Amino acid sequence: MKTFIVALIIFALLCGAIFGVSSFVLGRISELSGLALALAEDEAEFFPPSERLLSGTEEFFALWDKSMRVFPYIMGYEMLDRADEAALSLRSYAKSGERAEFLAAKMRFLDSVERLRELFSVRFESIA
Amino acid sequence: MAAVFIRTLIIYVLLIAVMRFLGKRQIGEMQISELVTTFLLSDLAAQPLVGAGVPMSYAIVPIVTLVCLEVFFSFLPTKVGFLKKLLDSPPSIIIGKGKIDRREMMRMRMSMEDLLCELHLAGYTSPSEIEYAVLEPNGKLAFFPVNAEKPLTKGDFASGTPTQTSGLLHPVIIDGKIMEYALKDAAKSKKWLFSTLKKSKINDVSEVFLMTVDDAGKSEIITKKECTS
Repeated sequence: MKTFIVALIIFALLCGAIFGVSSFVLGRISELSGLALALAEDEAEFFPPSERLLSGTEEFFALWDKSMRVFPYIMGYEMLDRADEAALSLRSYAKSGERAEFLAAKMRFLDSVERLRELFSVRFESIA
Repeated sequence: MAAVFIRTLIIYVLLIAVMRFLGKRQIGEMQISELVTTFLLSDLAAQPLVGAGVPMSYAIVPIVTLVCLEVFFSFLPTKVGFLKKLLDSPPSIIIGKGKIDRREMMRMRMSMEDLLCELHLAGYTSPSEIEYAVLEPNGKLAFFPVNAEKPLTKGDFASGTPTQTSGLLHPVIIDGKIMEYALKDAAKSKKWLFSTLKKSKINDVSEVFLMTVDDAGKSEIITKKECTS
């Protein structure tokens, strides 16, 4: 009986931790997606890179870098690598002012984090 | 390198804690679900040790989940009747009162060769030496020889005559629950069960921790009050 109660408490704590971690990841993904979506896309912002574009990209990258210190504890690198590579590209293309590559990297990043969102959502599709 | 070392330490401590939590049963005495869980645990534990890109949580979460489920499903059937029926397979009597039950053997997918092999390993040469052969839930065959084949005990020497036992003890009540299969094996009815309990001044089945009946109809009752809690 004692073992059963201990197992029940551990199971409840585990469920709570999973819920907490999933909420954190989903919240952080929404935040990152929001910042990425808000990044400037107009051609005028790229020749030369505007202050608005650079500061927006730096803010986005700082949050992604912060997230990359926590995410590897929660998910595998094979899931994070695509988004990480896209975030790095986004930053370098913003600095070099290459609009087409910047937009492609942005799309790749948004798609990658969308996959992560699906994985952490409690939905039938996420089980696959 | 240091990360692999620390990961190994964490997984080792986790596995020791988990195995301690699961209990003391040896591999040979495990139920099927316990055996499967143990194999799964070793596989899961190895994942973050061999793959540097695999996070620790990929091992910790499934290991803790499996162990908790194992504890639930080993405990709940003792309290919830329908779960016991669903999850626990009762022992099967392969040889009963000296007769081989071919139907039960087929049901357990056991061939005559398997039975003979088990008999030989237990030190018997023929099924005729056996009064009861019981296939236990852990997959092991238990043999109970006929009286003529039983070894003599100290008591037999003291009394001068060998003890004559009356076959198998059928556990008709375990922890306040009536074991339908045991009643059937003992060829007893519920009516007999309740009248026997009444004779022993027991009004409720839930008061009984263990009630057995042998082939001669002799019953033994151990109430919950008699046990240490």
